[in-house]
Amino acid sequence: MGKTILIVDDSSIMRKMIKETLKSAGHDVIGEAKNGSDAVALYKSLDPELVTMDITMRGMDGFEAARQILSDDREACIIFLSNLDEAQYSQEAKQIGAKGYLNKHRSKEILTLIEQL
Amino acid sequence: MTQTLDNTKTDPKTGSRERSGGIGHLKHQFLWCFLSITLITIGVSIALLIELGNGPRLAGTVDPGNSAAFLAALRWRIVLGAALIVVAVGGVFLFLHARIARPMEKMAVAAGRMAEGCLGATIPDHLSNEIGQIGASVNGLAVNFQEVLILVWNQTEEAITKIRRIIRQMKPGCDEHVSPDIMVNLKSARQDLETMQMMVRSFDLYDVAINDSDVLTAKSTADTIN
Repeated sequence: MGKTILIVDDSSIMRKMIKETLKSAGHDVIGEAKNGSDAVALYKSLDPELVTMDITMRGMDGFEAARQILSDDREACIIFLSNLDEAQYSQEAKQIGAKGYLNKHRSKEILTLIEQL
Repeated sequence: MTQTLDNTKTDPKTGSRERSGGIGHLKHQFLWCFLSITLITIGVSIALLIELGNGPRLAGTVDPGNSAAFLAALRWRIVLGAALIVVAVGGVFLFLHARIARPMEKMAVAAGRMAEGCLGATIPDHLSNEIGQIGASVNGLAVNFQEVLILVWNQTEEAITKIRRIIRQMKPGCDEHVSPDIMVNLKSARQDLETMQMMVRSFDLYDVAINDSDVLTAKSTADTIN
């Protein structure tokens, strides 16, 4: 069954790509945020089952947004989707409490990851 | 319909985004400026005309001393009216300078830096008028461009790694069936990919830096350098 998902990414092209990938697998994208503070506000109002989170964004970055979301909701399901080096940042993502870390150029692998959750 | 916080709506069929408000702000601001100056000018003119209307009556009935007083009062009112118009025009100028000219200057500087490859430059997008919207759109364009550049970097890096691996496996003596042309073409493909990476490296990215072959946040790079 499809999940309700909030996409957080400052790039509109990337949001569009991720949205198409998720929709093709039957997921419902209920919100889009282009920075961390929008993401925190939308998470509170939409209560999605899953959040795909970019890291580098103008304003509040993805790590800080994830920390704030998880401090409000320990059960929040966050997957980081970033262009940054996976070896360097996946550990930090895990420490924060994210469910996964994927490189954006392998964004289709997110469907497998969602199935495993 | 997908929800966002930036006052835009996304069409579920086309995926296109449109602003629900804000279009026409600049037009309204210009209209208010024009109306303010026009109303003040008309007000001052009417006041002067009324004053002038009293002139013949005063001139016909009163002695020359009063006539001089009338002219002095008229002169004073003309000066006051002119000062009022100057203040109104000055106010409109300051308003237009703050809302249009200064943001446009900043936009020109930031757009120039972006054109030179500095994608970290940000155009002010806090204004609610069309200038703010242009700023947000150009910033969005830079963000998307950076995203494409990093994607190109990651994909080329992966392809170069694969080509290196293949070249290593094809060392002379490992496989006699491999045509020498294949090796030449592989090396040529690797050079093409490296040229693309050089192009990506020539840009200054926002909050991101390419260190050796890894894409890191600018902060991490600074930590590494220090």
